[in-house]
Amino acid sequence: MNDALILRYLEGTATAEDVASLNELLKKDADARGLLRTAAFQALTVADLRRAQVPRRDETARWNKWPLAAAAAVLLVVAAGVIWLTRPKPELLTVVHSTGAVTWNGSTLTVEGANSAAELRLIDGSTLTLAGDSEAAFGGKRGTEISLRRGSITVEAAPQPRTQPMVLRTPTAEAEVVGTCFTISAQTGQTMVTVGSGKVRLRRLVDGASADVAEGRMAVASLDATAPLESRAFPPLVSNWSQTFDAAPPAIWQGQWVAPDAAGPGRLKNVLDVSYRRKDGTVVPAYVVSARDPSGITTIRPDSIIRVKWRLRTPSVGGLLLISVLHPDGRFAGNFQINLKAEGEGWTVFSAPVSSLAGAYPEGARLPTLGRVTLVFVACYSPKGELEVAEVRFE
Amino acid sequence: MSLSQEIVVRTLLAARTKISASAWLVTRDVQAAEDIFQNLSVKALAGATPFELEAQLVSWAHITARHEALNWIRSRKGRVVCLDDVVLSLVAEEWEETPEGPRLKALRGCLDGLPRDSRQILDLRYSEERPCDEIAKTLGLGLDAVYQRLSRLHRALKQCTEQRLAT
Repeated sequence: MNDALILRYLEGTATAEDVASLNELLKKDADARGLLRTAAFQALTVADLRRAQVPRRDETARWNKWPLAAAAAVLLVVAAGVIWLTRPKPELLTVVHSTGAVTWNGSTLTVEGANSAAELRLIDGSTLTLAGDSEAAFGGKRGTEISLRRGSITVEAAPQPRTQPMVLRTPTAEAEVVGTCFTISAQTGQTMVTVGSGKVRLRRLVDGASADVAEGRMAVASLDATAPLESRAFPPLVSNWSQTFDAAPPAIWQGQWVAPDAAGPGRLKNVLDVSYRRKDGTVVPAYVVSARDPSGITTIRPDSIIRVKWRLRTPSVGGLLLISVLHPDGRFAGNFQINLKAEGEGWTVFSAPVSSLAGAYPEGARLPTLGRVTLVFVACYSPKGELEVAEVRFE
Repeated sequence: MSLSQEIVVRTLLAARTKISASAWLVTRDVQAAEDIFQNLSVKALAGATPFELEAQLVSWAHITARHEALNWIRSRKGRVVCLDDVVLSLVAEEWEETPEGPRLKALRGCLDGLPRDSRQILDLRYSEERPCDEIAKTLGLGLDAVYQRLSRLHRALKQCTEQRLAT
């Protein structure tokens, strides 16, 4: 009787009289208050789980809208947002969403281009996001023997059987998933693991040394067996961050460095990158300047200001600014983008709150309250553009 | 000394479902509850109200969630038919103070172990937010049977969660 009253209240069908009775009951009865709390906690958890598993109705089309042709040209055609991959077993893997140049050859998923991405779901409910230039092969009965050949992958792992946990291998290391949410990135000669929640056991292939990497920590395994393999806390990220190019930027930036000269301050000129692939496999290029750091470039809040100083040789071609953001616990939050308009041939400064960037992938994605930026990407899609970037700043 | 932004975020995330529940018990709308949690997190981070203790922050978050939820319901539905603030305060005060992570994990395990039809009824009610009379029609049950099943499920899940937490 009381339970039904509580359930009707939660449903919104209780009358004013019902609510008055319920108020009286709850004031006196701690068990009834307990049931109300329990039902609320369970209800929100059920809703959360479902949202994590199923794309929302308004998120079915997850392609970048710009350029529009991309939607039609990617090899994996998304019908209603979901493609069932047919090999090695039909139901093992699902590409839930993808954007940009994403190809699947039956066992290997390849993501080309800095702003391309794909979200996969394994049969056990684990979710994997490959972002940027990445390639991973999937094997084993549950698709949980994963070889990351290059790039980075963020894993939200479902609970794993103790006898057969998910294992990710890179050319230099092997990570056994003990817990839930982490990012692994394979760079030349080294593998970096950052763990948002749970625990990962990282094994260095060169000598078999291993380390447990716990929540909020990271570790790097390289080919140097004399280096200690140990986990350490994430380096603290600042919320004010800027990069100018009077000196050459870190190698992780994508772009050709130009020292300061009469034509302008130190800057990066665009380099060719893959935007997407046509059905015949040919590449449609993008002209790109970008920076990526899987452990994070800076932290942002929705009201953080992003400032980009840039120019185009042919202003009419326009540009695109995109950032890729993780939640504080390492889950992928989304790619957020905005079209840039050049003000003539000179330098243009774009400055706006990051909340003005639209959730492009997944479409309608919302910026987290606190996020970790892992990619800043500025591009144009015409060779006439000759894009240059002189400064990127978050504050 | 006031809490750092990192601690504010960590504290709010560790009580996210409970704080959202404070809003949901007023709005009974999952999306609205989530929006309210996000908004109050932004407010907390903006630092207009400095917090020296985590408990202070959590208490403020529950109160703010309820107020924001009332504003939401007034703006959407005009007439407010919801529990007294005194009752909602009592409900909020009695949440256990420990981080909710282990409880969530245990609950998820229990949900995974539910029979398919039980999980379906929970999904219909709370993920799809369908009213019970519609669920009754969908499943070919009487309305009272739907309430009974939901009631049993909530109690069984609570028991299962407590057992998992105890082991």
